[in-house]
Amino acid sequence: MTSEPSPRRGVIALISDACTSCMLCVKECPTWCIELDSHPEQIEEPGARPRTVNALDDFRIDYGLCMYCGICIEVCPFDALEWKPDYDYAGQNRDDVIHDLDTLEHWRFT
Amino acid sequence: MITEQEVVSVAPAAWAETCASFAARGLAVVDWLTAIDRESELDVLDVVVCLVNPGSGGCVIVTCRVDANAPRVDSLASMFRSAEWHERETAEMFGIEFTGRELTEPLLLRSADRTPLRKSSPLEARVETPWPGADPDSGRRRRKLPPGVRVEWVPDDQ
Repeated sequence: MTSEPSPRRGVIALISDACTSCMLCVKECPTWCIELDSHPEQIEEPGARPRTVNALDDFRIDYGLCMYCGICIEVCPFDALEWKPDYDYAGQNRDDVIHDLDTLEHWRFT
Repeated sequence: MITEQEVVSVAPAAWAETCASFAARGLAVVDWLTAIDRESELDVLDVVVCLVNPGSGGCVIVTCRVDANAPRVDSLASMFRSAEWHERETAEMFGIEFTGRELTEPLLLRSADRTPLRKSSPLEARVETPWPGADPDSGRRRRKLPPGVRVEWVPDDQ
């Protein structure tokens, strides 16, 4: 009998604080199931030069296309994506399986 | 456990003969047979077969390099029954002619002019579908294209 792989590939959770909107996951996804919206934001801190960062606006994973390969999790340089064991998220229509930023964040805490 | 496999490269003329000599030494089953089309070497294709000894589990990989414009190699199907299906698939997907085969009917595709696994075969769906990874700020056209899509496949108005 084979042992169950750990962690189980149930759903992908997003840690949005860690995401820098670098787009690596979006570019590497073989099924093109990730979409990401961001905008540049100027950060000014006392004693430091102003710097520009990308602020995350939205992050969508289409579980109707995702093949659970985990490449997005592997390539993320900031560990902003992680596997969670939840699997019970079937939907009544096509849009229900497209998880937005809030839904993906919510999987962290289940 | 992955063990290092012996890889033997031969000329197309010696392909069937080499495989026959391995079969005589007990490597009598074709585990798989396919072709490799490299982005860097578009004028050649490598035909690859893995022969196994069902008793000992030993295996050898035999490859031969053919001209991509007229890819032709002797069929192994009369020697190895298990090569039959793989040759049909490889013929269809890469446009390689396996000479001496009895069964030449396509496995899946009914139109003979398509060779979907050749790098030169346009990925139409990938050209037509907007790529979520495209960099909208990049002025360079190539940066906006997904991996595997060539700039010449894209119509000028896109």
